Amino acid sequence: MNRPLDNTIPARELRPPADWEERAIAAVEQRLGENLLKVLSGPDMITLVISPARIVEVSETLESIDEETGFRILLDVTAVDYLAWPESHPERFAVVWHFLDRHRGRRIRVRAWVAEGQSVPTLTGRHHSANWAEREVFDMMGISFEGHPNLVRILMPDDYEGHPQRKDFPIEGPERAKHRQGELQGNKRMTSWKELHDL
Amino acid sequence: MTRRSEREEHRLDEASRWYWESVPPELDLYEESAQEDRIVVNIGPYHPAMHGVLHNIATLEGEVIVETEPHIGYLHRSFEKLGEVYSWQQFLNCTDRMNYVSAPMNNVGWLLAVEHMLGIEAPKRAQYVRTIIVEMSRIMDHLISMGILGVDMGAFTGFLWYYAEREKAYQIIEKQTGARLTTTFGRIGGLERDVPLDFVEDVRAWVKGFPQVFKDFDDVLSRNRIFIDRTLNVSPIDAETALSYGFTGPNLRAAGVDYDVRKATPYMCYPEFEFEIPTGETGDVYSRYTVRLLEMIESLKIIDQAVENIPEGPWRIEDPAISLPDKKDVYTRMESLINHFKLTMHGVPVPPGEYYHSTEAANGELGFYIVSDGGVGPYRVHVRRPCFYYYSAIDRLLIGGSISDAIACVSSLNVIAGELDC
Repeated sequence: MNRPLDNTIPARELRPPADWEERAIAAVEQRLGENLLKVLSGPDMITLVISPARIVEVSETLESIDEETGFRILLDVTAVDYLAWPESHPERFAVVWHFLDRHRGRRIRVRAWVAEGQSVPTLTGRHHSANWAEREVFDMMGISFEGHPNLVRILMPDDYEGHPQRKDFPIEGPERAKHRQGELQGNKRMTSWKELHDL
Repeated sequence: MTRRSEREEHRLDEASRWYWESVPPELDLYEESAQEDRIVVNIGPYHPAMHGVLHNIATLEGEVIVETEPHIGYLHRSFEKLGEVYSWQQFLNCTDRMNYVSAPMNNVGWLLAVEHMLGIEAPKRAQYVRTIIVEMSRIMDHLISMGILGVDMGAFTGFLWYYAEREKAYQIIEKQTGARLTTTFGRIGGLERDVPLDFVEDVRAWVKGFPQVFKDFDDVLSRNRIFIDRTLNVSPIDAETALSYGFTGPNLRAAGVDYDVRKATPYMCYPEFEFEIPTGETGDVYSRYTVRLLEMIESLKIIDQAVENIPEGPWRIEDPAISLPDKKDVYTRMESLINHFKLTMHGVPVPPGEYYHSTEAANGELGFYIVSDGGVGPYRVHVRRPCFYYYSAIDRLLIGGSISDAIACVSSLNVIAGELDC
């Protein structure tokens, strides 16, 4: 599945080279070409925005980014529903992957915009950790992962309807939300910072 | 020991002979025909050794688990959804209920994520107090997980000794936060209140008394023949597989990988302290046990260094947009009253953006991924729970072992259902 592990490298002695971010971006750009849509630099780590269909290649590229080490660990897979986002955005969902290079203590974020009903290739062929994480995303957001061996619900009951983490899913559940009258169906904050500020 | 008489031996032989003769010699118990004899056993969800509400549907061949299907979600409260309607400060209460064995570690993880998003840093004194409480919680977490590992195997004594020690730590934390289990420790930008006057004294006394209990527990369990038989080479996992499953924390270190967030990407004031990262070799139950034991000693070292060097000074940021004013000022000064009202009603303005921050919790890398739209609360929170990834490997770990091995394995992974389901 992965390259053989080199356990002889102690974690603390390697520090990332100063230009590792540029090199990572260049390597991914060389592999993906136009499919690397954007690079965002945040205060915590850089974010590569890619086309969702190319995530497996990105994972491969990031793993062999240096000679000795690379982003070998898939830390986390999650998704964000941008339905209630105040500004315009390309698609409704964003799937977010976090990769870790444990030797050099660096992390990188990969993000892909996904429309409703669109599926994303699975990373289960490369990382065992993708298995349950992708199931959770499917359960909570309803984004399906192509090629996943067992894409069923994980936290909610098997016969549950709807995907609770979506923004149009009412916070108290669909049954109770029916009794709520004259209010916005969906996820509404108790107070809004901006509204209160305008008062 | 009494020796059976010859006559008795003969009778036993006679009694069992009919059975062995009735088994046809050509029957191979491991052939496919034996699959019909497989038994499906539900381990959990309400089983005392399943630590909350874990559920395994195990298929047995004889006593060997050949297949297992983990089911989770029995404690799912959807804190990630709740976070979307809560404010930044309110979500702190949700983090208490994730890993409830060491709640302050979750609290500090969340606070650091929000503080980094705000671009602020808590004062030195607050950081030292946080470090002390967090490392105490790490010890408390390891105390209970290792104590319970013994309990699940029938060794109750060590657990009680450890629990008495845990109780003392509880009292120190209760003095500081006012709660024992759901601590809601700290506030954005520092602490809720300064430490009590006898905090340093209490911690010193606790640090002084701990090694004796540690030694007692070590004596009673670490070289216990029965314990070693039950744990050594039971459900091992090699480093590469563990990494692929997303293992972090003590369970990864037991497999020989010295990854620790405190060293790899240091946060708070960990670079100022000297401590080691203990690692195991085989990743079996026994090495998970030993790694946790050694980690307690390292945490004790950190507490010792922190409590001796705890600086004086402010314990929260003096910024009215972030910290609540003193209660006595709220009752006497108009500005403070307004400030209190504004902060409580409007919350802390966190700039829009996304942020991932991870800390080394007792179980491994606890990460908070936050998306903010500039509102009173997070637009989206996702918690990277270490337990979630441990438990995803459970089918691989349990297969080939017996049910008693399964109990030891689940115990040693220290899967907390509140964190697993979140």
